[in-house]
Amino acid sequence: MSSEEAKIYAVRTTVGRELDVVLILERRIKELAEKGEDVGIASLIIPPGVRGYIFIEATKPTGIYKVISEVKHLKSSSLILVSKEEIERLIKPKPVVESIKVGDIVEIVRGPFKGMRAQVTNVDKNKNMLTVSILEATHAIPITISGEYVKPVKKGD
Amino acid sequence: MSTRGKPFKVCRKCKTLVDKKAEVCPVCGSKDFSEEWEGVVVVIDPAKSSISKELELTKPGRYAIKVV
Repeated sequence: MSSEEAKIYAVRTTVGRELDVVLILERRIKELAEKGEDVGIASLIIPPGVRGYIFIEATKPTGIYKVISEVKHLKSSSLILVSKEEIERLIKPKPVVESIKVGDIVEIVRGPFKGMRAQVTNVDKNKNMLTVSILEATHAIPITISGEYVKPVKKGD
Repeated sequence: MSTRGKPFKVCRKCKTLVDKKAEVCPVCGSKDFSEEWEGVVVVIDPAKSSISKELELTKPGRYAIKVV
């Protein structure tokens, strides 16, 4: 590809204000585009679960400096070059169920059972669903939940 | 990303972020929305963006990365 190939840069923001910063930058880019100025920015990214950083995909860093100057909640104007593989790993995470097996211990991170630990009794990779048995419960009641609702804690024997 | 009062909901069909008050997705016309979403991609120039290709987004706009 030519020198027009976009690279990805990370910029630090105040934690919790990533979306505000992205919306300000989007507006600035559009305003400049209306004036006929192309800053070479291809996309703005906030990967799921990443706090305190936003990612800017751009063909030239100079274009980024133009739009990030004096933006509230931007903590630094220094750009951190990030590899495409790294950002792809953040935006297309492997489904949790891919790495979970029957017998593993997981922590439930969402829903009414949030914070409880459970043992996996069945894994449905196609539907991204797990059947688990809550460890704290006095009776083993199997519940079926989405793979998105758990995080692995311990591998089973 | 701030979880305090997200200003958008997401169209489950095309993943576009739309105003919470919208009843119909302005992009695909779907009425199936979710308020549980994570991650944002603002596509400015899809032709130059490898991220939009990776996520199969062909038009400029605001999209959620993960819809719960």
